Amino acid sequence: MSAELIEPILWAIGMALLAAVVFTGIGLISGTDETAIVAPLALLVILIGVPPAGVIAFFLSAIIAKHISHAVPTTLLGIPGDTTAVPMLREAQLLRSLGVPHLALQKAISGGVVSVIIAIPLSILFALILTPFAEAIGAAAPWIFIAAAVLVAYTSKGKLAAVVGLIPFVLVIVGLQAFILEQKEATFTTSFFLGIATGPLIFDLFSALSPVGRRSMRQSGKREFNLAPDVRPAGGAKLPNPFRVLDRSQLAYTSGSAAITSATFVFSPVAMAVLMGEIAGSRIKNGYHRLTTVITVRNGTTESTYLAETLIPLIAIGLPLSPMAAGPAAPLFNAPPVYTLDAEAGTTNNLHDLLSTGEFALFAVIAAVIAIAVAYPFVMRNAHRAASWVMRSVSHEAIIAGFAALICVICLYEGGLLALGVTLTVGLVGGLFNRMIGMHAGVQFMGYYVAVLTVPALLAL
Amino acid sequence: MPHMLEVWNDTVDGKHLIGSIAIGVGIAVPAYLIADRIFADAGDDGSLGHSYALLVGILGCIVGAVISGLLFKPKRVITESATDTRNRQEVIDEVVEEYGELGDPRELGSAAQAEIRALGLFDALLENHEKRARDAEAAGQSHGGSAHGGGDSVQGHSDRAKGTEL
Repeated sequence: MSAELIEPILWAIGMALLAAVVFTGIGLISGTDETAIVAPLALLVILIGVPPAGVIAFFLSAIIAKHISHAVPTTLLGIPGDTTAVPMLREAQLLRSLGVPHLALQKAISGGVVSVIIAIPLSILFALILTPFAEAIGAAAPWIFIAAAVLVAYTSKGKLAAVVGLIPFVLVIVGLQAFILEQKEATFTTSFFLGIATGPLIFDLFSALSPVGRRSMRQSGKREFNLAPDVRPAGGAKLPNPFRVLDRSQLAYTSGSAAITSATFVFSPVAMAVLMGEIAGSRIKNGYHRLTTVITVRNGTTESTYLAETLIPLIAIGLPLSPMAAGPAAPLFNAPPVYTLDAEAGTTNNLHDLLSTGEFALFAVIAAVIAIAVAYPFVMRNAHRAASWVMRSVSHEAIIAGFAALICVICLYEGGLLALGVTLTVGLVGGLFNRMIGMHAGVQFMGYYVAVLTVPALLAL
Repeated sequence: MPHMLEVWNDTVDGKHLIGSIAIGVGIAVPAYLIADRIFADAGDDGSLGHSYALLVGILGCIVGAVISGLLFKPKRVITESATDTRNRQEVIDEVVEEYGELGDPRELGSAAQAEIRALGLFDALLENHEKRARDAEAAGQSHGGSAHGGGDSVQGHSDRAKGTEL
């Protein structure tokens, strides 16, 4: 190993460890949506000046750890840990009814671990296959983004409304960008991303402030949660091997769906998790076995889609051409002034340019090993205690306070009060579109790229 | 309780929320602005000092969130359900009604069978399966109908889940 690799490796190890600890904790908190949480924190790590090795290891470790611990609220409390946990909610609840919530949890996280092991080498392989076409893809990017935006919008909950909603949304961004350019002679990126990612929170805060909005948000009292009993068999000190928790056919289905979803990096992770679960489920006759296999495959898919959708566009293209890359991983592609993506010239200066494929592979493996070593034993041993502690001690007010403060600080950092105004505007409009017409943050991120890539290309025709 | 609101998918007290945000923003923003000024005055390289100020601001966010967390307790009621004391068969019947037949555990591979035995579900699942097989024989076609119902609800679920994608 050459000497100049030692420092990046130490950064990767340190940042992966930090992310694994922080995101194992965050995953326990239900409803911590990936886009709203991972994107701002990844952005932060980049802006503070962590070198590329640390950034990629931090990000990959964060998503791997979060998609292990997000199974805790899903299986023990019956509430989805985050967006990608929604597809396994039903199987989790049925297994819980059967009195075996701990088994649902063990299957889900073992599926996640197996899937990570399969997805990392395969994503890198698919990225290498795609690399020769990168230039052609880059040249066509403005048109690919608008096609992707329309497709992602149409497959969202909003259907046609989300497609047509792209027009006002893109115009708002184009208009804000023009005004910012006039005032500051530079454009903002971060404040737009933050606004889109935290849109639902910003919209809810506005709504809570308005007497009209408050009426529909009123709750009759404290919300009740039912924690599944701790039914693990005695002698739980021994840590189960993820490959032994799954039987042979579950290993095969999980590996197979991880392999398939490592290639289908342009599709939505949630849709793929649902689809892979359906395919595996339709081939299993025994009902009990179907329940445990579907939850295994679905959680596995949440890991493989996230890894592939981050690594393939990063390694092969350098443009955020997947729903995941345009969402939670967006800062890895574009986080000025550190990482930039020049819309007009079509050039990039981001992780794609700063790391070689070999380095991506090395840091991905470091991130995976550390994230699994932290999250898997912690969740296996402490799931019940941790879920109970989070629900009883971590108030939602404190989480919202932390995020509201984070939005203010990052905006002031990027461009003072104008940036804060941009985030509020984009957040309120985006949150409204999200809540009212079902146009989720992924569609809006694509809309942002349509505004900065496709609109200039259209005007140049 | 009059002030309870649902904000960002969980229940908060409106007054506590305003207090928390005031604490969070009130600590983090001045921390960032003061740090930015100090680093700028120290004459450091501009962008690096700016980044350090950001780090101070983030620490402010964490401190603010921790203080809010200590002041305002969660608005959740946690009930820990005791292990279901009802008859095992009743519970399984409910699951079967929603999901479809759970099947004969004897047809599974040895690893899966060992797992079900360790969970203490083997006899219960077997009994349920045999009872259903007998009922189906007696009622003729009703078995096919119930299996079909299970399939439909799986489909319905996948449609719902697809809507909330990333």
